[in-house]
Order: sequence, then structure tokens, then C-alpha cells
Amino acid sequence: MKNREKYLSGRVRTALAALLAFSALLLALLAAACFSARWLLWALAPAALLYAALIAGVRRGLAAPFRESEKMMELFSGGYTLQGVSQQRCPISPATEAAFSKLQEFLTTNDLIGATKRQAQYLALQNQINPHFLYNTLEGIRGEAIAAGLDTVAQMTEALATFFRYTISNLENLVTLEDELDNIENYFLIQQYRFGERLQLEVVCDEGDRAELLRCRIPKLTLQPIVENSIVHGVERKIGRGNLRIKLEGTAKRLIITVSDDGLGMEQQALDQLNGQLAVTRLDYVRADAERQGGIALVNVNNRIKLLFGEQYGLCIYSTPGVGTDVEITLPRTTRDAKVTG
Amino acid sequence: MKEEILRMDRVTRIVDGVTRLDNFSLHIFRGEIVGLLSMNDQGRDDLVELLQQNLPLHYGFVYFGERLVNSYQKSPMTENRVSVIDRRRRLVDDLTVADNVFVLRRGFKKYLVEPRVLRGQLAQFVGELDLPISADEPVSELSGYERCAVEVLKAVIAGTRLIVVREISNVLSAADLERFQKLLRHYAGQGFSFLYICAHHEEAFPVCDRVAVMENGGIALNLNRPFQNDEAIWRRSLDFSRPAGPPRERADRQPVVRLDRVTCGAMRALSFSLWPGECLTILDRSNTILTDLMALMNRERPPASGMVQVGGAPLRPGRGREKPGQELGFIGEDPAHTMLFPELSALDNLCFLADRRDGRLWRSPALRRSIAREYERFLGGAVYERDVGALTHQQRYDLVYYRMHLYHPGAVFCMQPFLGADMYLRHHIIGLLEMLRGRGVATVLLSVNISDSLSVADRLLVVEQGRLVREYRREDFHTLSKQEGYDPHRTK
Repeated sequence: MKNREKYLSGRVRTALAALLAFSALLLALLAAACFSARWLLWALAPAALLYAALIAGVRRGLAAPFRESEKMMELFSGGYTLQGVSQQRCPISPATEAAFSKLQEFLTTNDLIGATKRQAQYLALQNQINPHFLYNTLEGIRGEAIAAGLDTVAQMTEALATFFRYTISNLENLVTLEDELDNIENYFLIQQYRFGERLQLEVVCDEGDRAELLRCRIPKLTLQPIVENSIVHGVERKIGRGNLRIKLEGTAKRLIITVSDDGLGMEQQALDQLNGQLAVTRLDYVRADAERQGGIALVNVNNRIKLLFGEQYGLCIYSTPGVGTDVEITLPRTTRDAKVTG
Repeated sequence: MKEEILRMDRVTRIVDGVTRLDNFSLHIFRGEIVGLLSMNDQGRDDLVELLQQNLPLHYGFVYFGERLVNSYQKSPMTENRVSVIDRRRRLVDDLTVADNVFVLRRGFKKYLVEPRVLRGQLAQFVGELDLPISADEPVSELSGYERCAVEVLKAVIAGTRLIVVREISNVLSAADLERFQKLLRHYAGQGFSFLYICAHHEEAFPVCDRVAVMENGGIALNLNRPFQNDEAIWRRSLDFSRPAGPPRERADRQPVVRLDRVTCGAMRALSFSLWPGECLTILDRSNTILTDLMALMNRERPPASGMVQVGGAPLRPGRGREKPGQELGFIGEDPAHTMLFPELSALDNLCFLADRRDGRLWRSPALRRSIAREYERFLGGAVYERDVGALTHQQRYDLVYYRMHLYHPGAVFCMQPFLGADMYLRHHIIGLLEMLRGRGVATVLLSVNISDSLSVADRLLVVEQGRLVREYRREDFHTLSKQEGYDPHRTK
């Protein structure tokens, strides 16, 4: 009780309850006083009705919106929503509304997007290699390979250089799905030198929609970390052939990309943990001292999408051990370019 | 470009502190039939409820036609244009088909109903479906399939864009189910979308474009057509297999129940014998004789011709108590709700039939205490529960089946024992049937589909239009055709 009174909400609740109890008492006393003169009781009837209306008004106009705000705060602190807290139907006061808007501004613009972008960069360049040094070296190897007649080595080196060029440069803008898929094909080519025929990739979509879907814009490096995850955790350790499938679907407002593999799949506990991380927006994984856990790439892609487009977009994972994993990415359908600040 | 009809995005619904839907995501496009395979019943009712009405959410978003209709921020409690087709009869029996389809429709504003116009309009629809229904036929006279078809028609005419078909194989026979699935495909081709909720993937695969597996209130798995293998499902499924029992020597034994060319109601010269401890499944492919057979064995209805013997003596119709040696037990559909008396304690419910064996039962608390002690090892503390409403669903099933265990009749007739049960409950019911078999009680499973019954059955009788058409022994189950709903995995 004492702890409840610490908060203003508790005090307001107590004061309101006391006020209603006091007015109920007054009404009862009046009724008792008027008991001898029955006609006065009739005069009290509108007062009783007014009192009932007052209670209904308090319930509807104060209690319900207050509970809604409380729920929103709980969801915010639980990591479910970032936007919801600044989009309340009935904010507590102009000052709190302004404060939450400011907080929202801080959250969505610089630090968080910057953090996820840095993490994407980090994941792409695990060893923090100087990009120009890397390009020059790869070009050198390619030249030597062509001179020596080693065409396969030259092709592989070219694919690797193209991959790094796409990965490292210009993370600010949204890219077309076509560019992203080209990068996947390039990445896949590199992986095929390792896996050979053991690894297969197919991209499926309605042929009528293909051209339009390929023009849609998505954040750079959305697909590659997911495909890499599928290969490393799903197909690599599988005995026999592994198949990757990227399915593209578009509605009027959304783009749905499903990356499926028929690899090892995930145990239920690991899947629940990962889906739990995807359901809430948490950024503690970008801290240098954070305990390393699996699926960082997926969590990072999910957070980037949520921060850029809103909490109704993001990733969802379904997996069965021994059967495979599906990663469903939901994005807004847009063909306009946008700069990702931070 | 696909047209999205429904999208549920990470929906979490908590009711009375219990999480019913947990991070549930599902989308359905126009013209799609999406199967929803529920491994357990958590959230199944809530999902259907939530599709019909925009109830408060703990978290998540619900979109119809890409328009946000419900979210954790605002749940308007409005109703969505979703039709549900399930066991519940939603048509008015005393009205005609045309009245049900056209007049009882949201948005019907005419003051005068013109039967001739309605007849003409209905004829167009039933003509393209090859459905022999007259507009003036009262709904009460429709068969199960026709009733379901009329419900679909009503939804289609009302412009419902999403139709939820829920556990329809419990209502329709195997042959009718096939026709009904064709009807769904026909309307899916016209742009209507369906959510097909069922318990078995063998039922969903032939009709669905996609199948989502639901477990613990969330989607655990998505499968796309072509459904190349069902390994993903089996990895999530319990083991329903059991070693086949040793063959019984029957020459010197007397059948518990014997029907000899019995005609009664829709039954036509039906003959079979039931042996002690045997589990017999009767598959009624046309869904006509099950209630008649129940009424016959219950002595509510005499046979028009033929002979019924129980315990070696003819069964006399009438309301009095059975003769010694002629005791039969009956377990109805959904027994957890229909066969327990809420005003009686769990122990009294357990003893309910046992007084036929020992008349002192209700006068002797010591005898009942002794029964409670004996059955505590099977039912645990539930046997001492005063309020049967406080028992779990599974404990209520236990109480009904152990009531038969205590009563110990020669045979128990179970009407659709797996109706509406999730995978875990089905597995448990199979255990309970095995328990009865272990006590030497013969069981007859009356069913319109056999997918789970074969896990426990020793013999299968296939009945069509009231006549016995085929008989299979357990060792011949592998020769069953797919038409009979054969599921090799459950009987392997």
C-alpha cells in the first residue's frame, strides 16, 4: 500500500475513491434526512442519476484511458513497442506527451539506427579489414590468376571483390530487391566453390509480379545475413544436399520474403529464445561486452526493419529439427528511395 | 500482385491471466485455402472468436483487406465479416433454404419477400454446384453435406471474404468430405478465401494451398504446396503406434454382441459379432446409421427385422434394467461435457453406473471410500474433487472412461470418441480405450472418419447407406484405400 502511494497514480486513485465515497455518503445522508418527507426523496432521484452518470463518466473518461496508457508503458518497458508510447489516444498531460515525442525522436533517429547499421557493418566485416586494401589485393590475385590461366580462381576472386564492394559501401540508402538478390547470387557463387552441387538456390515468385517486385526497395543487407545463417547453421552441417529457397510475394502494401532451407532446423528451446528476441526491440546485443549468443544477424536485421519502418514489420522464424527453417521477412512495399540516417 | 484478405501479426491474447494466443502470425491471400492444423487446443477457440470480433489484444495487429481493424492500441470490439462453418447448426431449421440464404442475411432490406425471385437466384448458385437442393426445402430435411453446402452458399452470397471451416470431418462422412472439399476449391477459384481448421494433415493436404501448424497458441510451422513429405508433421506428433495384439482364438467363445441381419432406421440387414476384449471400429461413410445403432443397442428402439443378441441372449427393448450378463456401456460425443453431472462429486460421477452391479453402493459410504482408494492410483487426487467443473478436460475424460472400467460391462459403444480432441487428448483417449481392452471390455467406436480409430482398432467395418460393404482385420489395414481415410502412420 505504502509502495503504491509512492506514485502519483496511486494517490490520484485514492483521492478519486475518497471523493466518490464522500459524495455517496452525502447522498445517503440526504436520503436519510428526507425520509420523513417522501416528496423530497423524489427530488433526490435526479441527484442519484447524476451520481451514477458521474461514476460512468469517470470509468469511461478517466479509468479506461489511464489503464490503456499504463498498458502502453508496460509494453514499452517490456520492449514490445517503441512507437506506441508516443501515439497514445489520451496522453496524461501535454508535458508528458511532449516528453515522449522527444524520447521517440531520440530513439528512432540517430543512436538506434546507427547502432544497428554499425552492427550490420560489423557482421559483414568480421575482421575490420581496410576495404581499399582488400579490393586492391583481390584485384591483384585476379590479375595473377588470369595471367596463369586459372579462370576459376579469377571468377571466384571477382565474385568476392564484388561482394565486398556491395557489402561495405553505401549502407545509408535503401536498395532495390534486384540489387539485393544480385548480391545473394554473388554470395551464393562464392559459397558454391566450397559446397559445389551440395548447395542449391532458387528464387521463386509469380512471373507476372517479378518485374514490379524487383523494383521494391529494402534496407541493404537484409537478405545476405539470413541466407548466410541458413547456410552456416542449417545446410553446412547437414549430410547430403541442401536447398535454399527465396520466395517473393507482394500485396498492395507489403512485401513478404521467405527464406527457407531444408537443413538441420532448430531445437524448440533455441527457437523460442530467438523468436522472443525478435518479438521485442532490444539493442543490448550491440554492446561490446554483451554475451555472444546465436542469431545476432537475424535480430539485427529485425531491429533495423522495425526502426526504419515501424513495429508492424520485421522477421518471424519457423523451424523444425531435422526438417528445416523458414524466415519470413515482412516489409512495406515501397519503390521510393530513402536515406537511412545515423 | 496478391490481395491480402487477412493478416494477423504477432498477436498475443491473454484472457484471465492465461496466454491463449502467443505471438500468433498468419496471413491469407485472396482465393487461398489455408489449413490450420492444431496440435493442441490452446488458442483454437480464441482464434476463431478473434477473427469474428475485434477483441482486446495484449499485443499485435489484425488486418482485414490490408486495413488495420484491431491492435493492442485500439480494439474497437466491432465484428468482422467472417463466416464459421462447424458442428454448430447456424441455419434456422424451420425456414426454407432460400429464406436462410437470402432473407436472413445482413443487409437484406426488402419489405416484401418474393419467393419466385429467391428461387431463381438460388437456382443459379445450386446449378453451378450440381447441388440437388430445392429453394423451398426446409433446412431440417437437409443432409449433413447439404447443410454445410448451404452454409457456404449463404456466406458466399453475403459477400463474406473469409470463411472459417472448422473440424468439418467430424460432421461429414469421408465421401461427403470429398464433395465438400471440391465445393471449397470451386469457391476458392472464384476468389473466396478459407481457413480450414482440422486435426489431421491427411485431411488438409488434398484441399489446402498452404498448411500452418498451430501449437501452444502460436504458429510452429508453415508448409507449402506441393506437400512433398509429411515428416515435418510427424516430428511434432506423438507416437500413435501400438504393437498388434496376439490373435484371439474365437472358436470356443461366445460373442458379447451379435447382430444378425438387423434392419432398424437407416440400417439395412446389418450383421456383425463383437468378441470379448475386441475393439471394433464402424465407419459409416454416409453418416446415416450411427444414431440408429446407438438407439438400438440402448434399447430405445426395437429392430424392424433381424436379431440382436447380447451376452448370448436376445436383447429386449424397454426402459428397465438390463438382464445380468447383458450390461452395455455408452459414451456419447464430447463426453467431458455431456456425460458428467456437475452437481455430483467426482467420486459419485465415477460410481454412477456401478450401483447396477451392487445395490448397496449409495447406502454404504465405506464401499464408496474403498472405490475411491482403489481408483486413486488411476485418477490421482481428482477422485476426491467435490466440484467436477474444477477438473481439467483430460481428467473429465478419465472419469467417464474409468466409470466404464468400474461398471465393467461386456461392451462399450463410443460415439465419435475423438471428436474435437487435440493431438494430446486423442493420444490419451487411445490409452483409455486400451485400458478398457485390458479389462476385457469390448469397445465399438462409431465414427464417420477413421484416422485415429485405426490406432486402437482390431477390426474395421465399413458401412455405406446402412449396409455393411467391407470388413478389414488389423493385419489387413495396410490394404485400406485412401478413400476410407487410411492413415498408415497411425497404425504402423
